[in-house]
Amino acid sequence: MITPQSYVFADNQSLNKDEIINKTREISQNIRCLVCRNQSIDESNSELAKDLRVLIKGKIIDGLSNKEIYNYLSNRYGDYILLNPPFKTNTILLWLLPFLILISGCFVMFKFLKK
Amino acid sequence: MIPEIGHILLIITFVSSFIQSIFWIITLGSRNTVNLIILQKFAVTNFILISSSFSILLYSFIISDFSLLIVTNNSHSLKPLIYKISGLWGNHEGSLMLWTLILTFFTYLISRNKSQISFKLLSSILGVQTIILFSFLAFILFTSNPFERLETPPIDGKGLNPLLQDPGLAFHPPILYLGYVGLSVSFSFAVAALITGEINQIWARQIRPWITIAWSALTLGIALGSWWAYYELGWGGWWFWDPVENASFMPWLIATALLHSVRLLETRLILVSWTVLLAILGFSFSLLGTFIVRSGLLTSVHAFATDPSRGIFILIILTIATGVPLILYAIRSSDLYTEKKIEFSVFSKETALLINNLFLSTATLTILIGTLYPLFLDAFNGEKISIGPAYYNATFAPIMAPVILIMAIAPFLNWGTKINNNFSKKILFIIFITVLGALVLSMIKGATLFSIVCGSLSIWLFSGVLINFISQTKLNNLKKGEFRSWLNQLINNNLGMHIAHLGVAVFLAGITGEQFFKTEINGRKNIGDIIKIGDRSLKFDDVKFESGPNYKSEMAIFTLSKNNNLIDTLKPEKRFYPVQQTQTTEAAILSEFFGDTYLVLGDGNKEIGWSVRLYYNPLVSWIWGGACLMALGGIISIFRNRKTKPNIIIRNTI
Repeated sequence: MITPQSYVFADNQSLNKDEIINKTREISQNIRCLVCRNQSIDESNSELAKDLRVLIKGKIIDGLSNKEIYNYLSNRYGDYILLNPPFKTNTILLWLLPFLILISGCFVMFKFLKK
Repeated sequence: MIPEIGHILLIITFVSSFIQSIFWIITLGSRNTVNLIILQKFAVTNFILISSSFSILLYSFIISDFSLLIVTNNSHSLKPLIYKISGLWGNHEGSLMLWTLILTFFTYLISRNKSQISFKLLSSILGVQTIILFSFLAFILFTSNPFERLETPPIDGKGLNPLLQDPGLAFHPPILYLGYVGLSVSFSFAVAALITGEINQIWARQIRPWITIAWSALTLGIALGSWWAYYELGWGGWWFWDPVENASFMPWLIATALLHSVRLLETRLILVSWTVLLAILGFSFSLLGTFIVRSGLLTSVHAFATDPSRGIFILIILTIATGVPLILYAIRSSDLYTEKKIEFSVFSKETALLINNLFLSTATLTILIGTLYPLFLDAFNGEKISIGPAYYNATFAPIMAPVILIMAIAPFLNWGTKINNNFSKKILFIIFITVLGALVLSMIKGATLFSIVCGSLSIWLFSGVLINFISQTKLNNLKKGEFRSWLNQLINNNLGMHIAHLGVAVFLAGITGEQFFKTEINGRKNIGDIIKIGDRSLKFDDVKFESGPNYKSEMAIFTLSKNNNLIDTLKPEKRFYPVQQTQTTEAAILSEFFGDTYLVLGDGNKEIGWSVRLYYNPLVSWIWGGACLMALGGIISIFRNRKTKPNIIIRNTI
């Protein structure tokens, strides 16, 4: 495995190098590159993306969980940075509407079939 | 002088389309067939006028007439001819010209219709098409005049965005527009049906080729755009759930639903008002897409030519084009046609097609919610959120899975109440093959639950299409002697549908490979280094500096070999376009049947080496191969000969 140049390493007791890269990339894919147009920081080559990847990697080495890292980033930059919107009061409709539509659609169709 | 002629032609068409629209509205109730002949003549003249105006603009691009603003902004004298031509539609004003050209061409084709379609329906279809033409010409003339002159023409143009100088993208917009404008035809059919109250099997038979053309073109156009993003943007991805991609995907989903609901309408005369609604919404979604792309309302990798005033204009067109038909729909749809009670069992084509429509519409709404939710939330309380692929994987994917499940079975179900006698045998065959396939999949290194589910769906559909095809061709005792009649029989036995469904299976296989089994290697490499990919090795041979027609290139040369046998030479490039002062990366891709080797060259020099990104994407080309099969299936099904005579004609005149 060849290591990407932007993922610099430090020693970590619990995780090996590959696990750190994989975790960093997994999180990076869900973080929006704020200075780009609709790209994740995993895809982008911008300076900000590089800095954030190093920052995330640092947090992983510090032993933070994925959830803690997402929380840290959204506290610092706002929910806008999370490409996977969290399930909160302002996203209830976003997450539930598709399934509500499907259920009511099934209901209407069932009535139609009975007729 | 010549561009002014083009401009005047546009103004003439604009004024005449206004007069034509008024003429149509006045003569709506009349029973005089002369009115139709007049509208047909108008359709021809509109097409001639717009194509002349379009040709003049094209001519200005070809001779690089930099006294035109649009040519200066989007062309350059050193550009290859094909990109001078594609530069015409690589911008807002020109793309609208292409849009209206296709619109008038399609209207001309409808006007030549010599079949059983009634003259009242045909006049209304032409009338609605003319109003659409009028709105778009107003849009062009008042906000986006392509013939705008510069007072002092520059010596040379600014050139086209280098990312757009690409054969894939040269043909992406025209094909996509064939799809969008094709949906305007089915829209006009629907509105005309609401106005005249005339909807029957002839209507369904006449609208179907148009939906199929639009659907095939959208399929091909979206696939071309995705393929371009894959090889040009250099991220190795092919779909990003970007607002602009969603904007083209929603009309596609609606068109897919419409294609299936119209089949129900044609054979069983049910879902009449639902089909009309879908036909209206298909075009609304096309307009919504145009609005999203052109207004700059949403950030996207693709957004171009964004301008708020234009956005407002499109929003007005969108509101009228959706609002008026919907009001008409609310008033008229109930007396369109009183559906007879028909009987069908749970295991019938009717049920399958209903489920298809339910899930496809839900999927469309899901994407609509995902695309517009951040906008509404921002307007509502100023909170900004992002919606990325994870959202669609959690919502869209599970909603589409049942569609795939049913797609394999539906074609061998019967209409009505008679259950196919071989039904259980066929189902068992499909289940057997799928279980076998899932077992094989689970043994592949790196297989996860999702990869097995996705791959199994593909195998499920493959086996379904296969058994369908075999049983349907057997049924009709094909005469293999005469090729023509043999082919005709195949086409009449749903060959197009089988190929399109096969395309979906191939597409799913491609997704499975690309999403779940891809490998990526990143690193800094210097000349002489060797990278191992499976049993192959990639050697970094050299870096060269060269000049292209309008760019300078830094090109790395890699050789890919297996056991010292050369497979191919890969040459990833970084290009610098001095006119635009931009740099692009050109990935080197070795595309093979079972996967792509995808190599990107980053920054670097001889001292520290170059940063290199290497992907191996298994089955990735199946994604576009599958899409091409779908489009091919659509095109084949247009040639299907419908022998059955319509048995019911209903007329509810105003």
